[in-house]
Amino acid sequence: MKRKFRISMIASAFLMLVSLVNPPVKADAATPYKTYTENGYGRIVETQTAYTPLKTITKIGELALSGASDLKITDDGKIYVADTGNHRILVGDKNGELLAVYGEDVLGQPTGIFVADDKTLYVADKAKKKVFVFNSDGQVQNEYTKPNHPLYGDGNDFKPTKLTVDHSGNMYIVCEGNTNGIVHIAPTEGGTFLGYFGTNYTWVSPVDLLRRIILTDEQRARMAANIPSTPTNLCIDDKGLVYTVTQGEKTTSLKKLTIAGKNIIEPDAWDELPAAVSTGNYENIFVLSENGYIYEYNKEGSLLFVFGGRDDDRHRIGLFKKASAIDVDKNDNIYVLDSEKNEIQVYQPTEFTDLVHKALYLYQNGKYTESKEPLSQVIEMNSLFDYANLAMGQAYLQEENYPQALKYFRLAKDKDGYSDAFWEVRNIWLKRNLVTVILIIVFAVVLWKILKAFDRKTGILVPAANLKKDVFSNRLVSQISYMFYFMRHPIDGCYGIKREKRVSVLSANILLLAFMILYLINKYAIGFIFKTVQEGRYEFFSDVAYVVGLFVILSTCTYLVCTITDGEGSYKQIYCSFAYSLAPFIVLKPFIVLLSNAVTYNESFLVQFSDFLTYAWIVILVFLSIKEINNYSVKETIRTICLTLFTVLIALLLIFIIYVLVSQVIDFIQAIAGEVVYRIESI
Amino acid sequence: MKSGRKEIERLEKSNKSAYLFLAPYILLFTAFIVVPIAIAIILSFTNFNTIQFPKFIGFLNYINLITQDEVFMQKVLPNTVVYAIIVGPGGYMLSFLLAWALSQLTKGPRTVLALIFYSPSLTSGVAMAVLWKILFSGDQTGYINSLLIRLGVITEPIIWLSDTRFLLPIVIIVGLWSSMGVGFLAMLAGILNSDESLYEAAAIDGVKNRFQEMIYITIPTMKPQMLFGAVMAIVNTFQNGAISVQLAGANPTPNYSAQLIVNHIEDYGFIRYEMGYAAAVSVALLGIVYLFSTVSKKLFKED
Repeated sequence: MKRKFRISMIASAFLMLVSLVNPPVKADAATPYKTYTENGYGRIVETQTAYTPLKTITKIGELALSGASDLKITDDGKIYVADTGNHRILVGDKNGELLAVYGEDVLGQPTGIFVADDKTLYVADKAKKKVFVFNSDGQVQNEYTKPNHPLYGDGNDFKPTKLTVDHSGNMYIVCEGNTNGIVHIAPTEGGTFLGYFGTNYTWVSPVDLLRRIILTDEQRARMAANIPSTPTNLCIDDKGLVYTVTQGEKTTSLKKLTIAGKNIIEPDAWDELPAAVSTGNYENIFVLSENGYIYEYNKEGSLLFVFGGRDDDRHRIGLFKKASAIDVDKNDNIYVLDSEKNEIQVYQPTEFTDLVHKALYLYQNGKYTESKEPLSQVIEMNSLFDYANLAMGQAYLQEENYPQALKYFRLAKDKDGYSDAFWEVRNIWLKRNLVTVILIIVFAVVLWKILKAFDRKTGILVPAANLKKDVFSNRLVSQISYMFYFMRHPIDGCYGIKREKRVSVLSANILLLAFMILYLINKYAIGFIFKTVQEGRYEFFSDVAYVVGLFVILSTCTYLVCTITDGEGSYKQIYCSFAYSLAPFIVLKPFIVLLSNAVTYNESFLVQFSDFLTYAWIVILVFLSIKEINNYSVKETIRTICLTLFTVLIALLLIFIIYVLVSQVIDFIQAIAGEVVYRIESI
Repeated sequence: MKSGRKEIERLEKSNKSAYLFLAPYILLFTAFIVVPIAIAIILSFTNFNTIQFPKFIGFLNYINLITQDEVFMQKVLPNTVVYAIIVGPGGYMLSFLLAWALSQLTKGPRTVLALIFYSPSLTSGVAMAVLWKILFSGDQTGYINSLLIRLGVITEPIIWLSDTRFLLPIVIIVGLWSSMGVGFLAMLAGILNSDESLYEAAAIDGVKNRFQEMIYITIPTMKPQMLFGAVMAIVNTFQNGAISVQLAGANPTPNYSAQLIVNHIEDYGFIRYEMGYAAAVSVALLGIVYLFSTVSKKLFKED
């Protein structure tokens, strides 16, 4: 489910191809980027525009920015910008008018800022190796330097780059080159070091693990140290939860940390180079990547939107060269700072995004019934927005309207939710109908017994028994039903195929056809929670070609290998025994498919176990048929199988080469034909 | 003359002495098996809290079991089936393979090893507490935690016996370990009893290795013992329950993660004192065990 954003690159490349053919959609013309979301299959797909560029702020008052690296928006709409290159902090209103300048002669290289509720400004200064605290008048109120604490570590420098502060004034400071984690400092006694917070973990690869087991201590000491990476940026929300982003950490690149420093989310999609993180008004999380992509997640880390992108010197509004800071104001407008273009880009949400946010807000506060209305509007605007379908399903589940929940979970491709809803639906059905079903079964059994007893006296069932006997004495029927015997007695079964002519090529082909049909049924009609293919997508022809091709190649290659390794079997015998080896699939699979439509995740092991049984049985049958048909020993059989697999590989390679050659020839002929047509037309 | 013949006929056909010899067994079997089962079946149709007189409520307990008891349907039954599917056939095959391997040894080592393999099923309660609880101890002094931390696989100890992800697999491992019970001894006896001349005959007919001996001679000759072993394995696995409660240290186990049917019966019977419902669950268990042993009898009796 987790995949990198790179998929969207492929998607956008594909979309560009499409847009060459079709005229571009009007929505795209308004924004220079496309907006993506994640669908229920975990794929990144395009969706309608979530945010549109509103304006660009290039100057605060008359002051231009230089290498600006941080930005904060307060609740009353003031913009604080860390103007790093000019060693100052600028305060402007949301139209870009200058309100104040902080720390003109104090700061060295201010890279991170934080504004508390009482307008106290905290600045992390990398060059001065200090954290400055300014009061709202612009006076330096406090300074914090490297903590003088044994646990901080003597060898660790104090180069604060980013910081955030909680309600009681405790600072969380990211320091350059400090791999121990975020420095946590309380304001008491001129700065008390509380410890390290939210440390990233290292990962031990299997190879490293093996090395650790084998190597001596001395050799181990010489190995490259496995050091956790330092967080890149951080922010805090109203509840005091700290969010960090770390470059190159994949699933833990975005972390939501509790007071105890424990991560509680795992994002669906992640970027290699996250630069900044911020929280919105609905506990939604915004992550900005250095390349200018803006990710919006809900509070559980599910991706809602991705948009933005890199500006390739065309200076389009809404794209970035080096994005470095992000914040959100009270009206859900997003402010993004570009430290290379030295400007602030403002985005405003579209109507669609407002609806999503509204639904999110209601839904997260447990107002499921109220959230259904905005959700249905969202679905109306974009029925493929799976997150809305999922929330809708959850809302119905909470309301105990299970059939509706089932429908929406299926639309959202959410198997867990579907399984839960299905359990309830099934439970209700059982409650209503269990007694009836039991009565029917008892009645049927009693009826059958009576019929049997009656038959013993009057022979009423004799014609039916005779009919059955007639049917089974039919040559073809007996050949096909031989598979039941073959399944249970493979060794004798092979003797029957080889010496007694119990089967024919026709019956083997019929079995193969049955296998084919069941394979398709298994693929497309298996219960939703076991489905591996996308809903509503059918590829019958390639499936048939795939199965038939594989079967023919396998049986042919086995025959070829057997002829050179003293095998006794003919091609017909090997072909038939292989087809009959598929018998467990033909016999068991219908029941498994039926079962899979009646179970939830609770009982899913039943399906998995019977699947395992089926496939293990087939493997044993194939092994024994190769052995018995060719009169091999076990060792010879294993050797033959290995050789066969190798031959199959070579055959596939050959087919591939032929395919490439033929397609080249066809291309060539087409090109010539096109050329000829062109020449004739131009004459 | 005529009456004399009748007298002889009567004596010959009567089974008086046979019944006399059977009497002790029948008495004990009735007192300790038949009567309790009958009472359990009767109780399962009542609401009984061990203090007041049972109140007849018809099939309500059974209907509740299937439709109302979500813990039973969502946790207990799946757990029990998973446990039985793995520990039943797994333990059965393990017993057979071990019995077969042991039969290849000489008498001295064989007896000692058989005793060692058999001992877990005898001493399970004590051995479990001493051995497995130390191995799976939840702090970093536990053997497995300590090993994994030293190898760098985990960074902080896992509380194995309270973690809902690991409890059932651990119970299954311990179950496999203690599954070498009476069935194992019966199979060992069966293998040792098989006719030596059969193996000689087979060797003349072209049997090349031990594996073929096992497939073609050993298993067919010891079918009765195999059947006994299979039935015992199934009955035992469904009746196992002590393991999970002892390992987790509480009934119900954390989040019902390793709750088996027997634990569920104990939970309702001896903790909540809902004897009627507990009786209904045990009758359901009886049905399940009967069903599975019938199937296994069919499997092994055929041919």
